[in-house]
Amino acid sequence: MKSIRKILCVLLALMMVLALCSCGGKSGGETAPAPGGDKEPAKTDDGGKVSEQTDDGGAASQAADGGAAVETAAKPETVTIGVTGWLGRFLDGAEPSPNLTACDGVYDSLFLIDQSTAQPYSYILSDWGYEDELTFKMTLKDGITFANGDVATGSDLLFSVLQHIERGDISASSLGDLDLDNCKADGNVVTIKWKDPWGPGLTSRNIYLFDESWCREKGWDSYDWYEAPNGSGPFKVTEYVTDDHITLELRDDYWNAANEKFQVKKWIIKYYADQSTMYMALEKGEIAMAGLSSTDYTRLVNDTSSKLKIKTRAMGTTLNFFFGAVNNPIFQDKAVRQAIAHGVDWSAIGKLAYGDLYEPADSIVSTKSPFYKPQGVYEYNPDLAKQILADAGYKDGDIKIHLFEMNGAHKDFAEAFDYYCEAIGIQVDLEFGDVTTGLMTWMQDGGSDAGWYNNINGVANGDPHESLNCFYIKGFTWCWWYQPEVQERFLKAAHTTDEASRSEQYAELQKLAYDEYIIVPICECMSVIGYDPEVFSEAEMNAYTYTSAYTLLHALSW
Amino acid sequence: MNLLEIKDLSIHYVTKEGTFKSVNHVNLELEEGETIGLVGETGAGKTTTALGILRLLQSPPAKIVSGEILFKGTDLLKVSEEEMQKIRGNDIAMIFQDPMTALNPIMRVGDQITEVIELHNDCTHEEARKRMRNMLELVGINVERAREFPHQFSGGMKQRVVIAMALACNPHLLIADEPTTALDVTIQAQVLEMMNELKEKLGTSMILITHDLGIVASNCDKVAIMYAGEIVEYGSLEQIFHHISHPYTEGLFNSIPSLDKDVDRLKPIKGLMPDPSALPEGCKFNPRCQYCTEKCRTTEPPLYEIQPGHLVRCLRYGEEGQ
Amino acid sequence: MSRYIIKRLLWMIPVILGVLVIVFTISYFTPGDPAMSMLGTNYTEESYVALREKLGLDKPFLVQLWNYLWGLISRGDLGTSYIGSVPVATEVVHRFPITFKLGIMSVIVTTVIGVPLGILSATKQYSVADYTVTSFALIIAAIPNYVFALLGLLLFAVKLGWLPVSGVDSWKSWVMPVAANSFGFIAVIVRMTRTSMLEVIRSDYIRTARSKGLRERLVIWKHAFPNALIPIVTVIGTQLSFIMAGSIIVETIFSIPGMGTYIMTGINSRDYPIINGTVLLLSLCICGMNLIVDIAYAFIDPRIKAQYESGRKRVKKAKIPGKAVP
Repeated sequence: MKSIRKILCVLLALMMVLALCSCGGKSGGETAPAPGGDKEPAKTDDGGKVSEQTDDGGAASQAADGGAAVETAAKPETVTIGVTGWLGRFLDGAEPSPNLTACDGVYDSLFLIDQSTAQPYSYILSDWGYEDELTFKMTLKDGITFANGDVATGSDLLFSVLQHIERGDISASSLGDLDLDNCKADGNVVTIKWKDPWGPGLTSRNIYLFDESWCREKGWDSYDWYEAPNGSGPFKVTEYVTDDHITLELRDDYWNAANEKFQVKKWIIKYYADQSTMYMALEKGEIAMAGLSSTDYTRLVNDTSSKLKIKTRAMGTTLNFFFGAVNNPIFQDKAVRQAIAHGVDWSAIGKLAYGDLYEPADSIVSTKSPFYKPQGVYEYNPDLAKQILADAGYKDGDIKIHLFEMNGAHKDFAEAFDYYCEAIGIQVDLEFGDVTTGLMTWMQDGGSDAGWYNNINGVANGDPHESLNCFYIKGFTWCWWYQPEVQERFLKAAHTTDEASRSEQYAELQKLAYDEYIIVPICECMSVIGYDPEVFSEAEMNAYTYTSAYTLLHALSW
Repeated sequence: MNLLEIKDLSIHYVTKEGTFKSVNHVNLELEEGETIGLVGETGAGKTTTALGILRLLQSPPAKIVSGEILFKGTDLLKVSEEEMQKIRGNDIAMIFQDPMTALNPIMRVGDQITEVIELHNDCTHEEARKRMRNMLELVGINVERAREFPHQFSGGMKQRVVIAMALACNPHLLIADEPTTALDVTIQAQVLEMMNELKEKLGTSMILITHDLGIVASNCDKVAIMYAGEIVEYGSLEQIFHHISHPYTEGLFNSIPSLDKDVDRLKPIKGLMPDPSALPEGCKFNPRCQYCTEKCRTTEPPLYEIQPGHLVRCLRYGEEGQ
Repeated sequence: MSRYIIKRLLWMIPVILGVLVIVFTISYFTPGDPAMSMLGTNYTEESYVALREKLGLDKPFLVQLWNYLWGLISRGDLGTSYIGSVPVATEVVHRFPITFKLGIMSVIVTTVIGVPLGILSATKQYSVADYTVTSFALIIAAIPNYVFALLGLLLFAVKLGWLPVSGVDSWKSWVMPVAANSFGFIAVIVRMTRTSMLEVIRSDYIRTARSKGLRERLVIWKHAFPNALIPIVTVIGTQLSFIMAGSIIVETIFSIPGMGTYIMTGINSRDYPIINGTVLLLSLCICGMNLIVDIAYAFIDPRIKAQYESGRKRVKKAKIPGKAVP
């Protein structure tokens, strides 16, 4: 009898504990399939939840003075959105990375890009244009004031451009070779001069309007860049709690208040340390918008009871695989590169990366770029791969590759890659580490023979310099783009201001990458946002570009 | 009226390994002011009987199977636990064998005594403390030591504290379970002397449990000899000492070495106390008894009164045995 | 007694210094370069060298160590985080109270729930209550705290909507993090209390107390429990140390801006000032907790207090190793 009592008590205790776990239900969805899986990528017929970003229809086309209205939901006065990663500070190009949404509320950008026409427009410039190939003139509007009361002048505008070079941040490289001595500001008119014609112009990245005197006074290391940035945008930071949230509130003295009607007076950007917690907060309604991981995406698509909607968008870059042609001499032989390109099922790796969002790519330049030219897809054909190797005189086990990859998604890619290579007789030796060790390893010769690259920073004007990775990563000297030939051709293209010619040159570079160097394009880099349709309208979300949340935060004639 | 009357008390320990019959049909009587010595070897059931009186036995294994314990006319076995708590420490007090562990190590000595006073008396804290100090004086402890902790006292002093605690509420009956066994001989004498003085002064009756016949001789009025859970001989001090009757009693007295005679070897009683879960048939002492007969092995002897007030549980004193 | 406390406080200083030197040395020699980490993909040879100089990483080891220690002693300067140039001391001052609050509340919940359950278990040994409590405690102890956290979030925050998902604004948002932190330790405390009480209840002085006529409740709470306290206090002290160590996972899941998330940040980016600063704080905490526990012993058991005062080495120390928290 005693032992029966004991068993009953254990069962009772177990039931009490399992009562905590009574949360099964409709959240189905699984992680991305293993290599060789056969799940089809999701199409848009999923209950009307997912809206693809379309290039026409639904996007607001905005002229320089504000334009046509966009359908929007009636908004609450305070909206909370979620972020993971960093809460960041209001200084772009410097670590920790800035929260772009917050920056777009606090600062004015020089230029924004119209999604449908790919043309730049501006709210703070009354006029701009090229005088000649090397000279670009801009005129700042009058009456633009910063949060601290200073009035913006041309010298602030000039400073805003040149400070990227002064700080040596990422954006500096996208500005080209500026002739610094001859760049000047005269009243509200600013002249930018280049030493060589610069194709991408000033629109590759958001340039925010900074107050020169304030920046000089505070210095780049001041804590004010976190909690009290000085911008000319409509919002100011009223609260900054590290790793918790940023509160933006409408300024009383916003210079363009007359032309804009703000429904949302307060934005709270809430930080979540954990992606799944953020998803729960979104489901629960604590936040109105959040980025979703690919597993959350699948879960939400399959969750028919949720009122949340999804917007997917391409980030303007692709995930691609590259060989270290210099690093491992075996890769000098094109046959080897070709064999690997055909011997690996790249779609499996794409699905590992993006799950249901996988969209195959056929060029290392994203389809979102105006310079995109389709090249082709390396068909998965292991027999062909083996044939190529045999013809070139390699036997099983002759080829040895060493891969270093970082923990996380790339680790999965490496393991999949290993699987396929072994099947065609190529030996792969894998090594893993974290980000910091990774950076160091890749800087050395022999650190890794190949790798994957997906830059998640979009480029506003679609200029492919990031996709072509030409001068972005200076440290990885063993990568293809360091080849003198490539550098030369790219710089030539970048320095061409004639759009047609530039387009052609970029097309040739893409071909070079695809045919000769065999940089394998795998898929578009996708980002997913889940949002509450009662707070944000579909049209609004479509107008919200990857590189700027300006349209989301401003209320231009809406 | 007798202060305490135990009638036919039987206590068993019921465990998975078997039923241990620790106390079997014990009868005992105690008058006011009397001291009775309860003598026997280890395992005879003396402590169990004592704990049974106060109902301090752990109830799952221990079970009071039958009997009555009449204290001033009330059957303690039928009283509620609350009533019992009023009696413990107040009307009946007990002191235990090992003074080293009998006191709460983290409570001041004075507080432990004051606690029992306040528990059973409706008095202020100050009054209770005054009484506590009186008790300490009575047992010969410097009053200033009331604020000290048990570990600061020696064994003998600790036992005095225990005695002070037990007598603080002036109980009618004191049960002393081998109070001096753990102390050395010189201290033994002191403590016993003190106990006697207090007994006289306060008029306390006492059940003195011991295995030492010498202590019995100097402190008790009546003696009960216990063996295997039974009283085998019972009588006044004089009767027991001068008219040794039961073979077991005989054995006990014989095993005491003599100061006069020149003896080479001690004379123990052969054999061991029986296992309470497997008691022998008939007379429980029969395996070790030198006078054992066939009848002894089968018949349980009753108590025969061989002198007024002197009872013996042995067939030799029955009609048959004469 | 006060001499004892002062002596212990003085001993803390070399201990903490030692910890600092060790941690500084370890992080110095660990592979992974903060300058590289900060530059990331901006890396150029020149900027790398310049950054190393700026951060003082090019100086010899002993000079760096000395600069750090001197800055700490003279200005309370814990250095500046490499990423984002935020003074570590400022961050720590913001974050520590939050983690501390979480820790204290967890300990209180654990004690208030665990100790009475343990006493119940001990006094009603072998009963239904005892078995249920012990089994429950065992099962809970076997479930990791992050599983609890996530399940709890799913059930209470999302499904039922009673509690918020994250943050530290209202009292409601503390419920689940505290629960997740405490549950594992409740099991430990229950068992410890039960064992200790069982041992004490069999003591002779408990029998004496009963024989005085005390109500059972008083016997348990006034006589048995204080004597059973020493091992329980030890476990509570150990638990507090562990929770102070950051409750990293719980803080991450619930997005609590405390020391735990800060340590993770530092480790992931090889941010030495953060690592050194947080470890310093942790050692202070742990030393402090140990001291408090040792002092508590003196108040519980006068025998131990006597030992402290006489300055003899402690003979009896009922320290039981605590459960590790991931």
